[in-house]
Amino acid sequence: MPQFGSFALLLALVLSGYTLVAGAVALWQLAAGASGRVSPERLAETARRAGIGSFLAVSGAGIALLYSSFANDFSVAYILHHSNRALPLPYKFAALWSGQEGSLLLWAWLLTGYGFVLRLRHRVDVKLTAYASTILAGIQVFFLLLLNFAAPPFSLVQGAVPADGFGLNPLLQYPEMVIHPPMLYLGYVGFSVPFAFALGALMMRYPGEKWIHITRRWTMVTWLFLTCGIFLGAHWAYSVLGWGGYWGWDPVENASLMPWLTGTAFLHSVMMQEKRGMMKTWNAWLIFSTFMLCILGTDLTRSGLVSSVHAFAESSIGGWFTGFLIAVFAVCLFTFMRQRDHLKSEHKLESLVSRESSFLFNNLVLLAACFTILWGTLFPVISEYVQGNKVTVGPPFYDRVELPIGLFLLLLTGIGPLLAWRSSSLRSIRRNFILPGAVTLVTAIVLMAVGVRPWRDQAALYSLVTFSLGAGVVTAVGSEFLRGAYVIRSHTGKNLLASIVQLTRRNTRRYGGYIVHFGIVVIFIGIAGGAFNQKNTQELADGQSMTIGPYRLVCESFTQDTNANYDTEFALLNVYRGNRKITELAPEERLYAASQQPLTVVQNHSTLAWDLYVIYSGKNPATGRPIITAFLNPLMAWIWIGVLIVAAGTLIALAPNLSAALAQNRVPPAPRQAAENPREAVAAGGGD
Amino acid sequence: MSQRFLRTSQVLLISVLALVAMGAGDEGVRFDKDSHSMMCVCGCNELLGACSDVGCPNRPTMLAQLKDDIANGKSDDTIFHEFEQQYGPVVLAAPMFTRFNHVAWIVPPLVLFLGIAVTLVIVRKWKFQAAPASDPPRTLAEQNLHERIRRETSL
Repeated sequence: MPQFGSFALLLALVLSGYTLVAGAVALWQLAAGASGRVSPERLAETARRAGIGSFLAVSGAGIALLYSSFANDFSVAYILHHSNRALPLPYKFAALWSGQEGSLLLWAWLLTGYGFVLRLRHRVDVKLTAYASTILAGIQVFFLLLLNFAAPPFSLVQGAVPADGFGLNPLLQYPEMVIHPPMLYLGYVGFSVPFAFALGALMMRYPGEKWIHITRRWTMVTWLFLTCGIFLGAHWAYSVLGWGGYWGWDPVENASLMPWLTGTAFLHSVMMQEKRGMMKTWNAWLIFSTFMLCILGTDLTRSGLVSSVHAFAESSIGGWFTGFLIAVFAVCLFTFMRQRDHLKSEHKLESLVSRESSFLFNNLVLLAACFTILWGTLFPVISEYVQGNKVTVGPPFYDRVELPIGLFLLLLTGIGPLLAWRSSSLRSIRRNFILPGAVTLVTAIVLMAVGVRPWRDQAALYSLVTFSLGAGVVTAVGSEFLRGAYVIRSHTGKNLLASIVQLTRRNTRRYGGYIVHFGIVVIFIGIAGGAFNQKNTQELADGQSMTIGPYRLVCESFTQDTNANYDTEFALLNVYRGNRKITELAPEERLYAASQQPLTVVQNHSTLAWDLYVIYSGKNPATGRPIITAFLNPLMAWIWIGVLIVAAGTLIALAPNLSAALAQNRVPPAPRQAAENPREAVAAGGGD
Repeated sequence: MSQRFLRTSQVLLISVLALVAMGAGDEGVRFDKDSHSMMCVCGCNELLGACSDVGCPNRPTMLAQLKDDIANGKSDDTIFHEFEQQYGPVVLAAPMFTRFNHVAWIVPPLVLFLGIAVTLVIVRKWKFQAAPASDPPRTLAEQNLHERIRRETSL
């Protein structure tokens, strides 16, 4: 199998190289009007087919590595280092992306997989797809060069083959690790597609904005994958690392957040290009930057340039990524310089108080947030170069600098949808903002009256502002829904909920977007709950109890156990609220046999109001009693619920609108007449 | 309508400020705050107050030292400087406001404000250069229709 895998990777490299070269030659011939022995159209077709073949070849390599993992083939160095016989089957599968070489193979497989779909769907726009396919092939060649020469996953062990493997990092032996990395990589790799389309469209001076329509779904799906990947990672950190938090501003976490921020900015500003032909240069560089940030993040975290808790990913391949990044930047810059006149805006911004300007400021804030993260991630390196010593840039820095930017963004989330395209009159601003503004202020007053003290510390201040702004944004979003739903109700006689559903189906993009905004607010509220976290650590004998918030934890027993994979120590705790027993929790510490690494297994009792998060913090060697640390984390569930809402909103935005014909049947009169009637114009969904 | 809106806003704003002023002076929990302003040096790359390594050799000593320093009435700056002397600059979870470290704090807000300023300048420039030929202003009928839509669909 290792030989088959190595051959498959080599074949994939050859096929990708052919797609790149033949595709480039064909496109050049088409552009220059030249022709060789084979017509450019046929050459391009062979390139497309080779690209499809590269996916099959990389799939073969992936299957070979999986087979080696399931067959416990420890002659393969990668399997020896990331698996062992006692490893449960799902983690043998996850071992595929638990190390450097395997994760690069996953990257290459996803990249060729995206390319496979793109090349199969080439009839959408044959020429543009040919450009995008050739650019994707260039990226494929880079990753396959890495896999064949710098980080080969099928390297064989020298000398005698050990009877058992070294096992998988215990931190990775968690169900979410089976889906978190693929999800994140789907996001990272997925941005290659809109990047390839944008660069291709610029190279060929693609007329109009059709390429945006073609790539819109790609971009949104990719963004959704990245969003889910980031939050699955956060949930994994919360559930496994056992420090009571979910985000530590680690360089690897930062690396995933940066392209998410620029990708979010792109999703907003590209609407201006679609609707008004504006910000073309800005959008081109936004999507270029998003792709380059995916590569930069990988470079930073795999090169060992910055220290990270994700140390298992560090290696010597940083130089390859740096070289690739420079090459990508050079290609983007060269193309932009040659074709920049093609990116001239068709319209100018007419007013500072308009939907366009709110997008502009939203982009500015998102980019500032991205820059701050990049700056904080790189500052230790800069400091070492300038001062001779490395400083730490950790959570306190980001909390102080990034949170105000986040709050500004939250404010814009509420303001943007209330502004009209082109220009908003003072009267309409007053009318649209009076209710959300009042709700914001009243929420702040009520919160202070019930005991939130913003003067207590920075965290309380930020949480108060978040809750208040969140209430305002929800009011703004809700009023947008209600306004349209009332019109539909008056026409159809349906109840309000059915009217809201119909309204959403008529303009899925607009109202799906509002649902995403609502989800973001819910996430912000969950994050703000962190200002009121409580913590208590106590040694417990059998029958002894500790208290945190409304809960009383009584130690029922303290037990040790062992199995083939690990030894374990755990305390059995009965949890009471008042005199009522709520649940049983068994926080434990495991010592894995193969790797001899410990792992804390967190126990969590989650409600909408708070999480009771309990960890086993070892035992007192003098008394032999367990030490239990309990956290009360308010509103934690809101973060995960918010992510589900964001995902739902994105899926709604991806769905096609209710057909115009169907809409006409239900709501007379026809669209042309509707324009004469303001109520029906709104009922038809309005603009974005 | 506008005067009533202004007056309501003023009353609400004054209420917020009054509530803020009434409670000023509450004391925070310094130990918790300071332990989350420093890193554990055991190699876990986590904040001192959040280090979850079972059997961490450094956390108990460092936390005890921090507790003593606070009990002895030392200021946060003094405590951070002493820890920095003992464990090196990496022990501080964020750069202190000294020499080159100022740059770490100044650059991000500077970039944001410069971005806003440049955007405002560009927008102003665009506004004056707006070409009406390619984008004609709204007709009176369109304006009336727009206003009617707003009026009839407002809550």
